[in-house]
Amino acid sequence: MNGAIRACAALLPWLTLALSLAGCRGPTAPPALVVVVSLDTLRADRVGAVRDGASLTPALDRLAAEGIRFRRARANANETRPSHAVLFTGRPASTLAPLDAFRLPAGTPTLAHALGAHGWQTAAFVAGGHMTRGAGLEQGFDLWNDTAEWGSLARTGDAALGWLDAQRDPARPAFLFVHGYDAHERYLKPSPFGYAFADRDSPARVARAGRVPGGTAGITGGLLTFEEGLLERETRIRPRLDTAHLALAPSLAPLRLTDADRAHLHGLYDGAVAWADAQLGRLVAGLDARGLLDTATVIVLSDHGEALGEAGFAHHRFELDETVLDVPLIVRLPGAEGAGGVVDDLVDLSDLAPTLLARAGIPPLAGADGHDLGPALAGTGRVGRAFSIAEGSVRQLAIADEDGALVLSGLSSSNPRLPSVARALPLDAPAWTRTGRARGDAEAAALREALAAWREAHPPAAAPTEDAVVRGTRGAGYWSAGP
Amino acid sequence: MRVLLLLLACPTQRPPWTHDGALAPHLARIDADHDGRVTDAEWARVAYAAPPLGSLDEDGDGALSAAELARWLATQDPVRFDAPHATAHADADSASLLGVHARHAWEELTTLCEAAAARGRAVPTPAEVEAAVAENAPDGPALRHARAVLASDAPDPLARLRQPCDARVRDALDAAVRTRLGWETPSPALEAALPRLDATR
Repeated sequence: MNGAIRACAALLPWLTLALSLAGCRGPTAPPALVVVVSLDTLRADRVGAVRDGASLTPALDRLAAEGIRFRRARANANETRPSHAVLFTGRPASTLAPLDAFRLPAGTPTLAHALGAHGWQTAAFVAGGHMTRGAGLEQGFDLWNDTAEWGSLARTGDAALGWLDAQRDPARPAFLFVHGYDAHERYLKPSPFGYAFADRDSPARVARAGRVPGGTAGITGGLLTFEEGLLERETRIRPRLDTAHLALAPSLAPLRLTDADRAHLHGLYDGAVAWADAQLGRLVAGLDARGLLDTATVIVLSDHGEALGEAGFAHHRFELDETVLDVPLIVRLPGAEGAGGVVDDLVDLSDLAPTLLARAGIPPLAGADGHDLGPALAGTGRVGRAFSIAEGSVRQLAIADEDGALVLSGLSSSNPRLPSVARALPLDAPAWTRTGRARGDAEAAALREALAAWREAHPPAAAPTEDAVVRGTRGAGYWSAGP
Repeated sequence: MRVLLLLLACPTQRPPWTHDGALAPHLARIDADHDGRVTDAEWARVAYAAPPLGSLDEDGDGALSAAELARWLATQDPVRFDAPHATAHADADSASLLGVHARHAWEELTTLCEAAAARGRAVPTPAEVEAAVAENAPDGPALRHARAVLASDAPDPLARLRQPCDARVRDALDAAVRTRLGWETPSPALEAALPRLDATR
């Protein structure tokens, strides 16, 4: 009997998988429902992080306990639009459009297009801002609701649940995308979250600004940290231009965050994370109350993380390090299949569209090169991703494998000369940042070659003409740290 | 097959997800004495732009429950919840937003004005402004702007400071600095914004 139970238990994931496929019309299986929740700006290291003796994220913790957590998930861009574009297409952002002022070109095949073509209902409830209609991300969705301007999952989640009640066709499979800026600047949230981990009466210089509406947005995206970022960026990777900021912006006095400032920012951010978690809990509770949770596939992720002064930067625009690129990715399968599972393989957000399409039995999107995470979800195979690429709009490009990362700063990832410049650039040049295993020269050289080869295999959508790029970067100090 | 059907028929054993349950762990965090009740004093430690617990305590038991907190939070704007609280007197256009120039200038000027008021004067003296300039960021944009406004002998300096400092200017400033560093290609919109930006700096 024990053997029979073991055998049947082994079959259960496959049976559940089969029942969740699109178009499955078994006598008891409802049409598939896939809910993807994007918690904008949520760092991976905050999931399950303990503050004052308790987890910041009890809802995410529970979802991970009932689902499968990918512990090494990375974003492919450090800003909202290109990151979501990768999520929806499975393609590198710069192959779609230049990253500055990114817009997904009309006619780009998307996950929503493919699902819709196979009979799925598709609806998105996004929190405005970068996700507002017109950025191209709405392509393929039957409904793109972007009325919550720079808003919260508290609003978009309720609207999504309302759609399930009133507009979902129960006879068709459905894809529901829900997005909120809850962990995004402005971090300060209503009580008791806003000052749960930060002192209202802190002497930190940023404390007063944080209490002004829009204050933490100003702190992280505005002059205060922009000046600091500017200064440290210049001195760290552009030694030959370390006085450039003074010539370019003489009125911008350098302001550096103090330890108290950083602690205060971390406290405000953690309050926002706790708030985001509570809103996610409300949304999942809404699914459960409707009897949908155990038949749905619920995926929670973030488009990027957030730097909080660790390397001298705040916000997410200025860096491509682990604070910005490591993101949560939790998949709760129907029936809580694989509950408590942890996948340590390297994955990234480009893998989502191929995974969902494969589960639905739909051919992959043209040009998509993400990996199908199905075998990893089922516990039957490895992901097999050798490296993950991330692109930044402030002229940065990163490559990471499971044990290290190499970041090239100073060249746009759309620059047509990038492969040759990257190969020629000495690995000890200040334009490179090396972490983990990539601190070793052989490992860094391998990643550098992989980066160059990747760019050659994935040409950018619109390459700017920069004939003087080599001369310019040499003169700007990218080639050596010496005078 | 019999075992398989048995497995499929097994009811879910997990507890339900609930709205109150989503808030309960966060409420428990502020229960400093761990007695299972969030009291007025415990609420007051974290409350900001929020009413006293008595206003939220619908059942009058002297403690805040997750359900009571959920009902109050549902009335709050998650983004601009404290707009009236923090800057009502500076946000003359009721946009509930202050640009970065305005914020910096407003903070500095608020401090100066409060100090001046304590001395029985409506606005700081030029010497006080200059002292603040020297102490903070010499020739920084906020204080330069503050100085210019004060020098104009404006009757309401806080309102004047807000005028040119909206979010569009802040965004344009960010973009302009990046452009001048060669980080991004200037857009026609940015080119059009630069004269206005320069005029405000």
